[in-house]
Amino acid sequence: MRRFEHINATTVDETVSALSKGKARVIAGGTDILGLMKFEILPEYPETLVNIKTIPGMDYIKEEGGMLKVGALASLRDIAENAMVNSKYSALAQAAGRAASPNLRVMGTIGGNICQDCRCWYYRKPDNSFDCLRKNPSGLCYAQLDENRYHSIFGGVNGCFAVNPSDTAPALVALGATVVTNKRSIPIEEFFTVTVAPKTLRMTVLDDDEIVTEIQVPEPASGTKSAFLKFALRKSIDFPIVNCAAAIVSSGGIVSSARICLNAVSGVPKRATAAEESITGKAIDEDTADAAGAAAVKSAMALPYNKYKVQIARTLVKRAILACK
Amino acid sequence: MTEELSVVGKRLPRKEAYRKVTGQLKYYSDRTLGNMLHMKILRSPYAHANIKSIDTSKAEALKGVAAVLTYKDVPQTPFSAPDNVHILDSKVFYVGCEVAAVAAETVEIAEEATKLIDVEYEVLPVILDPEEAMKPNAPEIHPGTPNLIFGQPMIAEAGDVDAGLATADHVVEGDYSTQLQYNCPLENHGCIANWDAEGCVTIWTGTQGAHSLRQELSSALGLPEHRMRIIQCHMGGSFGEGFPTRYNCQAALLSKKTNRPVKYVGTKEEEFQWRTRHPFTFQIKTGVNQDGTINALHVKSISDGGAYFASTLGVTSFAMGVADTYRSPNLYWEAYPVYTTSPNSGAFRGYGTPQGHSALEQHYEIVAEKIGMDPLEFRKKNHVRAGDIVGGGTMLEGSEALDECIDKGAQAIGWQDKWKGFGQPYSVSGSKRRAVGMAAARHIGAFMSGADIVKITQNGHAQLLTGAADFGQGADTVLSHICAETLKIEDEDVTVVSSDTTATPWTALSVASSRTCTSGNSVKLAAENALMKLFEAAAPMLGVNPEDLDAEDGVVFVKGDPETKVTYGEVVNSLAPPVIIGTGSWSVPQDYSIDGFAAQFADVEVDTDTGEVKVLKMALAHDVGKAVNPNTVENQIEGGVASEGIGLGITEDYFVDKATGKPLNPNYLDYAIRTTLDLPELDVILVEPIEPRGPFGAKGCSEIALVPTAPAIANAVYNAIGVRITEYPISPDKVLKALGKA
Repeated sequence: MRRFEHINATTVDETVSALSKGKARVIAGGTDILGLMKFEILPEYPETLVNIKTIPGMDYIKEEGGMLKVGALASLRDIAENAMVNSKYSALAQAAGRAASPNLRVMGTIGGNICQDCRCWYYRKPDNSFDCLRKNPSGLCYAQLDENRYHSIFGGVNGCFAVNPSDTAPALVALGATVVTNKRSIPIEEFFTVTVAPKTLRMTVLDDDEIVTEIQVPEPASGTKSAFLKFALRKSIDFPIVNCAAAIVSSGGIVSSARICLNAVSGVPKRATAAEESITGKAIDEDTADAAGAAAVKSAMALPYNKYKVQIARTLVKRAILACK
Repeated sequence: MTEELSVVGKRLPRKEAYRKVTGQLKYYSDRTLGNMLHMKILRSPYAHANIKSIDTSKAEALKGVAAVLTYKDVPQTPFSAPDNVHILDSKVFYVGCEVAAVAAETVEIAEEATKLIDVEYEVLPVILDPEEAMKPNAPEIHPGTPNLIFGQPMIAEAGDVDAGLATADHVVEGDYSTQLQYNCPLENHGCIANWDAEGCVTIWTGTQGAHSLRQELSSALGLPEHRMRIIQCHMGGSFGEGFPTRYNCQAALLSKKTNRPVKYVGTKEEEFQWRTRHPFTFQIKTGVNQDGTINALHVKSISDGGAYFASTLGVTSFAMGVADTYRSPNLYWEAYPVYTTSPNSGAFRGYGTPQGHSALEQHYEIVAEKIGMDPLEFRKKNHVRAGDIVGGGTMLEGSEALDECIDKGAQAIGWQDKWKGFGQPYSVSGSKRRAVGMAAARHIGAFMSGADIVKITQNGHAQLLTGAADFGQGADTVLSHICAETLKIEDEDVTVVSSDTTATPWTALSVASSRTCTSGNSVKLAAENALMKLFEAAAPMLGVNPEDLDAEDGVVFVKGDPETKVTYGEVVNSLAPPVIIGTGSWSVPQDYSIDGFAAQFADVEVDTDTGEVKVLKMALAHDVGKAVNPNTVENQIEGGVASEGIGLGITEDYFVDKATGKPLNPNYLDYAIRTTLDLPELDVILVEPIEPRGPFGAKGCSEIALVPTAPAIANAVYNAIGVRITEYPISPDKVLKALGKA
């Protein structure tokens, strides 16, 4: 790893000020950024890491003003084990509890989990050993050309077929969360993006001098149930091959509204609106859930090696809906 | 065995257990020598290229760099035939192949220096597919030698296979393949090398055999063996990886160049490139009669050796050896071991046998289904028995208890209730289907030779000097038990020095499950020799003849008169000098085969909507001979099954970009080695027939652990879903494709 400056910030303002000087990145749990640096993944190597773990009081999990407020520094483990989150915001607790490994959940924060970089193995090959278009305007998407078993089933974004790997992101989309930064409040669905070279590489809409400070989740309407499901090779550590969260409001046994989100299927978390429309107004059963699952992947465009992900996405949508019955 | 045993067979602690759990055990990487330099290796970004020019001047000019090594600085005599490669070559053969090595004051400086080396490559075609490599117009990876190693297939032949196929009631054909799998030791391997002013080299490293490594390094460096000392350090696992010639030589040459010790610690990403399990493809044709007898077996196999000759012929011949697990009067196996520019293949636990069994144990299941015979009955009817000729001429005349393994494993998995017939699950719940399946295996249980020395101290305790390498599997413990049992002392009264080319006698590699039986026998002979010398020295002290003496608890006594006695310490101290040294050596008889057997049963659940295969439970019945330390035996079986076996079956797959040959997942996050949180219930059943030629009835048991695991799971998956998947691993994409859902 190259040399870098390490600053322990004690306030958000101090963090932002350090970030605005350029070539600086935030470190909280460090489970993503350190790997990116160690293996020379980033096109521009950070000269400064601003540690925000030293900002006091930003790891809260509380209900206030009709919403759940989670500080950006709340650990995935604390969210997964929080009784209130488990009972009222089940999808979020389940997602936090299935992210990464037990050790990494202690280190990793909710802020980091939604800001993490992609896991594409072409992009993550050290020293840009594949000339990846995320890093170089004249590069290619090598995943589209060859081993794309873990890549997008809904097309590329700006030519890149990598997927967003976050487990908590789809849960937050399903629950209609808002991301609060030092500058603004951003509806979670507008938070994710993919920009590639020659622009600055991004997975979110955050500016260089902007950090997530809080995540707000509105209190679910009565009759809401939510659930998160993840498919991966190993339960112990893997990133998702596909994951899915659903938050469904039912009344008198009939679905009155539904929010369903898939992730690891596209460059940004993929709201399954066709599935939501399919299940709304119906009673949840094997057949209606199956129809919604089919609707969710109707527009899928599999690559040569990832057709199986379409079937898994379809199944997870179905099962997430059934879990909200 | 009627003899009462007091150490062998007991669940005693490992010799290094307390040091291991308190962090005191020293691995090579824990060691530091004064004035030591650090080595980093520049590796090729290309799978196949000539080095047109290499300029190290900028690297050498970097402050803190002591020396740089390129192909120009190494002995020009090739150390490996027929590929004729050197410690560094002017050609690279795979992505990650060594181009140059740098020694510097720190690891960081060495790493920086590797990036300052200017190399101009002439890029050559990438050849990853062995079939492409064998085509007549394919470029030779090692110029002057064909890509099909030695230019012709290896053949195993018995009887007349064409006639056997023609006269059989049924002929069953099938194609199978196994994937690229990485060894996955926990430790990052490396070494410390010191070339001293007298021209003697000492190397501290983890290896599976110091003497064999010395032989290889001696040839590569052109240095006589007496000037080399290899000291085996404790190892964090090896699984076949522990025979590293190149980095040891590179570090030694840099030490020679700088007159300073040189340390090298590899990274996991580097290790992924230098050693993997050979991928195989098999085309199998079997002639079978309606009564269940196998009439003919015809196999064509292709094994991808990667860049170097290394273990490719050995691995291929071990794969061919699985044909002998079941009797067939007519056999023809043509095997094509091939060079490619894939990540380098080499030794990996099982050494070809897992690949062979993974194919044949699925194939014979199809054969049994074809004739409507119960899979257990089919195996019992056909498997080899004591007295059969196996391995092209050796006789299996030792212990063999496969029937008992099959019966006990079946009972443990609940076969009677859960086996519903071929392709039939025992439970269906929505998309989830459960079924059981099984596979059997035979694997080598003793190999090559060993020699040992037992010294009795003035306190009457023993020091065992053994050439057998303990690389984490437990050889020190097992050999200590055998020594203590033979000498009739406590296990804690034996200490072990192992695998040091100067301190211990020559012994073959710790490979092929060889050390329990092979070194076990030589340790037993050495201890008996020491005991005989104790008797000879004690006889005049007690006024009797040596043959009138017996021993117990460190005391020599007169038979029938146990009060006329003298302690071992008193005997040693009566001598001038006070020295008792026993020696022993043993070699597996050439005409004799000692094999281990196993039957493994898998209970699986397949989710037909996601393609997930979940292993619920495995029952593992192993014929291990006498278990010298049951804990260690069970650890070996559980470890082999839980990580490598199930991984080979369903999760592990090492991906390489087809256009460039670059590995895509050379790390423990993207490569799905199973962790302790991913384990199914494992029920280990030790079947302990007495091996007549083994020490206290023991034989080897380690490698076979994973051999039948993948096909047992594959057969269970078939019974769950009614569709066969013959390309390993049985990953979700393949399951869904087989079911027509992807």
